[in-house]
Amino acid sequence: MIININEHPELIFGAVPDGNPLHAFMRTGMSSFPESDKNTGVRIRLKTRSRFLKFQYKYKYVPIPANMGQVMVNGLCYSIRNESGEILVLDLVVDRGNAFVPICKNNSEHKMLLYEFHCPALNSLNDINIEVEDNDVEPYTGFAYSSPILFLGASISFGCGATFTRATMADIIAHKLNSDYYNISVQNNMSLDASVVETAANAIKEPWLVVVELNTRGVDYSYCQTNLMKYLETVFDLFKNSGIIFSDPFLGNLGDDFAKKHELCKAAVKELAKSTLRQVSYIDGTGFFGDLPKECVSLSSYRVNDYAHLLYGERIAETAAAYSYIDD
Amino acid sequence: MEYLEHFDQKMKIVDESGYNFLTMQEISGFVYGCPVKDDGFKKIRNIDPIINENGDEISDKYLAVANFHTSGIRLRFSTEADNVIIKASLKRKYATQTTLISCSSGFDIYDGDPKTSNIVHRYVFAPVEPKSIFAEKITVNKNRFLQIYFPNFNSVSDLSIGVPKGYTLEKAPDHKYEKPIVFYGNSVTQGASASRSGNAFPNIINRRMNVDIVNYSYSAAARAEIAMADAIGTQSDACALIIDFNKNARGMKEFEDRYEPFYLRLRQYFPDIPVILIGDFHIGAYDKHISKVYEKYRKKDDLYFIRPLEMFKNMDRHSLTIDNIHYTDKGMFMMADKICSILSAKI
Repeated sequence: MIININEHPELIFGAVPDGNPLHAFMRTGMSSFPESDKNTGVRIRLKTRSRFLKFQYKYKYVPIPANMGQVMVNGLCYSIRNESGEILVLDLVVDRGNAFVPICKNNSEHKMLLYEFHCPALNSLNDINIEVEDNDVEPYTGFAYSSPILFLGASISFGCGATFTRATMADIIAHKLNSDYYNISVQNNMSLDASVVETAANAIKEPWLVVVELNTRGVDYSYCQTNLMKYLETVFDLFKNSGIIFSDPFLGNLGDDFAKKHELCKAAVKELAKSTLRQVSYIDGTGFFGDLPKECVSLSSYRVNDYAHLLYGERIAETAAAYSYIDD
Repeated sequence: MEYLEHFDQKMKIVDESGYNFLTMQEISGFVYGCPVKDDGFKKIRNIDPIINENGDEISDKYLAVANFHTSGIRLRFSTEADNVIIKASLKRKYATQTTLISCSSGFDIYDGDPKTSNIVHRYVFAPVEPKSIFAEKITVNKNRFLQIYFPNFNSVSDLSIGVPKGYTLEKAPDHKYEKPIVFYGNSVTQGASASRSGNAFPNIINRRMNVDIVNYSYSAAARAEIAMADAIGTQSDACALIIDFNKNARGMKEFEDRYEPFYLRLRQYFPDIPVILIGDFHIGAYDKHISKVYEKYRKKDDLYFIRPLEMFKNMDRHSLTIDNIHYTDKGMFMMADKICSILSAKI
């Protein structure tokens, strides 16, 4: 049988369906939100004992930027695991002319297999079909937390510089913590814009953790002075029951007045954390890489690569794990 | 960066009248890691004997394409000029499946210190889809030479360097070692899935050890033909040899039939140098046979065996590899570190 994913929102993770089939994969359900239709963080997760699974997706071709690859723009990466969570297959699907692509064809013993498909960060998929043997399909959940992680941030949180979605900082954190997540990051503009936080809070209720990459790149010190407190207070106010991890924009330390902006942000977060007695961490972007040569972690002076995504992901997951929010 | 419709089109970003543009032939003395420079930039001069040995249409097609891929090829020069312009025409206009465009089609810029030979990354430039002809003005830092890695999964159809009038290009300091390290391998050795061309592990080794390299890697077509061993042996001298042959074989029988004869044929050309065999990263299916060959010759020959499965056993593959075959930068640096740790004491 063929399952149209638009008709099965329970299989869609990281997106807020708004009832319009064309917008089934919007990240916030609000078309006014910039890049809302981009699929970063959106996943199809299902489990089935079907002997085979075929996958079809339709998309509008998007020219690939120089710091991106096919899978981040026009394709999907996926994993297949057994019930113990052990990886059986890691692979990718890139457009095959709208054909059904065999993802699994040899589950002859009808073992329960867990499938996770990561939609392309920079595209807007609106039609995914999955063909399985019969009606034996369930959502693949089993998260350690009953509520998701929310990512607010800029280009790195969005996934820029990673070769595929599983290699993005956001997905690494969620994977390591075994948590669902929503990625409401915006690639550019919207620096310290509190309206982004408000939009996210309207869409995603009660995340257990909020990870905020403070987007101070591309704006000067006085802009930060003017907008920072309102932005931070909005995060603190709207996510009262969440742990919060703030970070500098990584590799931002190469900017002229980055040190000043860093000190400003760090002090403001510290002050708010103290006054609200909240569980808050601040990841210092300046000393993050230690002695590791910059060539290991960068594409250019301000663009990070897969290695950097991995290091951020590991560090933030480690910090978040100490928050001890694991549900019984 | 400026995109052009035609290679000879007049540029808008610079006043071309202030520059002399050197052709591919005129800059060939500054191009490293390229065995054949007088017929485009390519690896093997004549692939017909290899094709005859395989007789496999699909594999031959991949071989012919990858023979012009410029992985491992570098421009290396110094100049007193403040800047130079690189104008390039690439064959492929689109991204490959497993890499970023900055790896498949990127020119990766590094500064070298002539006194210490330390090489530091600056940035990478690459075209967006579906562009393939472009020009980039590169600032030259004082008292530094430039080292520019070519695309890992693309062919350079045409290349020109604009040098301000009154200035010339000069040779950068020689590498530490007289002879290069030669790599033979598959798509991983060709650079998938490094984030940019300079981060393919052979290129990292080039910088870490200050040694020239030649990268005979053929994505999807590394099948260890005797004719390939002959081509490598006759075209290149080497201070060390890395062999990454496994998953491109058409089945286990072909792999076992070809592995040892390929090794022995290369040894005829390179009898005394260290050779490193790289095993399988995927599921280890090929490691048993490589291990057998390794055990057979390791006492007689200067021979080493790297087992990626062992190296990566504590790594979570979820984020390390897109397809359980090609690893990203973390893996590239780990592999480079491992090879450097073996070779730095040997050559």
